[in-house]
Amino acid sequence: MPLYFPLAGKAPREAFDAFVSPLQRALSCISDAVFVRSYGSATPGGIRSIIAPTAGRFVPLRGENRLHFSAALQYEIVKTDDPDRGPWKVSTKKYMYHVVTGDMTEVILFHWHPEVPPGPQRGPHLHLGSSQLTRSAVVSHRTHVPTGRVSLESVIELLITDFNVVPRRADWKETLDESRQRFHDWRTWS
Amino acid sequence: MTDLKTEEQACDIEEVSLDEGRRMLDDAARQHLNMSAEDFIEAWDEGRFTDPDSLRVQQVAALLPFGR
Repeated sequence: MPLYFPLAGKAPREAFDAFVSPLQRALSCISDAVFVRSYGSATPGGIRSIIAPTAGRFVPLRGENRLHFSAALQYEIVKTDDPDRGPWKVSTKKYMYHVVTGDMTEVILFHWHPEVPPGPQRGPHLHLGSSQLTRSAVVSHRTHVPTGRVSLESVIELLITDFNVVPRRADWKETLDESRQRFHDWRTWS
Repeated sequence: MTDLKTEEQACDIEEVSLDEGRRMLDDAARQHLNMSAEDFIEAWDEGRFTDPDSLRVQQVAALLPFGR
């Protein structure tokens, strides 16, 4: 089931801007990386993507754990008859938020990629990285731990509050709350 | 705290061309999986990855809309 952000616009570009602006603000809480968008990103008619940083890389985060991060969201700009949300809006199709160490060992990965069959991993899930598991752990890095839909804002808050990432802006909490509120107000499922 | 461009940054988000996107996909596929973008797309479409959910495969798969 798709997720609709507010994100409505009189034109596809407006819907895209409303979708990506809060995400960029959220990202600015931990990094100066800027999202890169795929060709045709503000036009309907196919799956588009935004990623940060570029080309499969990771951004280094400040903090004692020396973590690295990447984010990718795939979406489609669609037309709707809903008078409150249209005529154009953004429907998220997939996300990946990856937290790794400096040598690219997995720490935690948040995934939703419904196209990868089979089984329960079609829903949102997380992987605990091997760096966090003991040899005798029941869970492995390949285990799909089911989650609800996870927002980029929640992952960034987790990084700051629990993983000791040093925020880049003093108003990070307000920024994430504001951005996340939009996510909760407008999602069509959880 | 660092000086920030925040709201302004959102407007600066860069859209890459198809050629650039294909290069990005190819770079990532070579870096993470030691294969070309073409080989990655073929393997992905045919479901040949034994662990399509792995970090490295997903880092490349994220770029599919950029390069196909």
